[in-house]
Amino acid sequence: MACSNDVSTLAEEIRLRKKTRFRSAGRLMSLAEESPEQTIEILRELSGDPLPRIILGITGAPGSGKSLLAGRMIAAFRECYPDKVIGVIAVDPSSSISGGAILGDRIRMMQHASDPNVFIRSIASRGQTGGVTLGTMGIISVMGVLGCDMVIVETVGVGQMEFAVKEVADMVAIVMAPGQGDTMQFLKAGMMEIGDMFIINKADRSDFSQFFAQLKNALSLLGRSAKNPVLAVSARDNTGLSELFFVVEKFFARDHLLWEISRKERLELLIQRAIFSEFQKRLKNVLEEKEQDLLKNILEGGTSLSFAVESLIEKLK
Amino acid sequence: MGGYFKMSENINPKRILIGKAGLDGHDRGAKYVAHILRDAGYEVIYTGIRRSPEQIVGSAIQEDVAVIGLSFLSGAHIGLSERVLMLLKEQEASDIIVFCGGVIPEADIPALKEMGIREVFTPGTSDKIIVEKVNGLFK
Ligand SMILES: Nc1nc2c(ncn2[C@@H]2O[C@H](COP(=O)(O)OP(=O)(O)OP(=O)(O)O)[C@@H](O)[C@H]2O)c(=O)[nH]1
Ligand SMILES: [Mg+2]
Repeated sequence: MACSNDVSTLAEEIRLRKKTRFRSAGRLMSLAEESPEQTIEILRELSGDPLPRIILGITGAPGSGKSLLAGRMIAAFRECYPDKVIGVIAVDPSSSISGGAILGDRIRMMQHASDPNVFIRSIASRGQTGGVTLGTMGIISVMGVLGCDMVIVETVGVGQMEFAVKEVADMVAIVMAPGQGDTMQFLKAGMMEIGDMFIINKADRSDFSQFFAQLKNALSLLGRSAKNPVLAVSARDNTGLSELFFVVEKFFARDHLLWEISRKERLELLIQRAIFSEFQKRLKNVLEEKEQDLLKNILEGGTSLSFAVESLIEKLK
Repeated sequence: MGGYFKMSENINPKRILIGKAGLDGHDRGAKYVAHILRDAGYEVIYTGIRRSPEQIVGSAIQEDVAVIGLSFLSGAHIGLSERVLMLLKEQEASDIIVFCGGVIPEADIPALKEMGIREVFTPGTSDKIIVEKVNGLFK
């Protein structure tokens, strides 16, 4: 039996908690990824449904342990709240050559793959800078209808992906670990600015305490550690998780209305980006189809940039 | 609503889940196939070794893949394939296509095809053939 592609039918199957609701949710998420137009349709359809209470972004250098940590967080969450649902969205870059991707973050969460209270979705950036887009917000809202109390969004801290996660997440945790090599570069690259919380992972390693001290020092020089918690955890040994949840819960213990406002602002920003991206695609088409000589005329003829812009806008109509 | 203009579609690569069922060893073969398919433009959800049919089917549904590739090394391919197909049916997801790869005796291939496994790749199968046949599954 094939799965429906109709947004309201799929949403209704989830609301009614039909047996096929996971399939419907998976399909709705695919539709959300497919085009911004469909994402909007989904967001409209689901506008009366609950959103997750907590949207937590986790980002950091490749290999710092984000996926294993997410897996541990799922386990701890499920143990603590047997009736609640948790979702994970793991974003990885697409290959710029083939457009394909290997999405392997799930490997570290597979023990939860047949738990009906855990929904994990892997997505590829599909050439979108940042990887996180309006479509990701669509996926989060589907997780909301599924009843997810908390959604974790994992992105790799390469390119611009770590910055984009802030556009969907309420709170961003930066994961760092000794032996990653590029930590100091992270500090320089402005990564620190986006962290609401810093998770220093792999506390089981012998080189951890030195690394931890160094980072605490660097963060306090940047004035970050005073406002933003810095935690030592070991995803391998499952230590530091209760402190982690404590910090997360504390962060979310503010008026729900404030979250709604900030989520709405972020959503508007994502919609704006989707519109800009569409504009860019269309401009590129015009440039390639109707104005092939424009760039040449700028370089070799006397065409001014502002004239070029005006004529592109004219042709867009 | 609709609107006068239609927004352009994003690029939408097809999605495949690769998993190694059964209790035995390594996943070199499965990883290799994942890479070939990635290079052929697929989004490959890679789930690692020692996965139960329940985990594989649960993941395939959440990830909304069109195709599942099962990798086997030692013997349990008939029973595990059967179980995967049965779980898919239970979930009303029999439209998800399943292929197998790995160390599978020629003699077992007809039985696998009979139960509904669409392709079987043995260690000798070339990259080109794998990609061609997987492309064929989407038609
Ligand atoms: N010693 C130790 N190793 C860990 C810990 N957490 C993760 N690892 C190991 O670090 C490696 C990377 O872990 P992942 O969870 O895949 O890291 P990631 O940050 O999700 O990686 P990407 O998704 O590739 O960016 C794996 O080999 C893990 O087993 C830890 O607390 N201690
Ligand atoms: Mg990961």
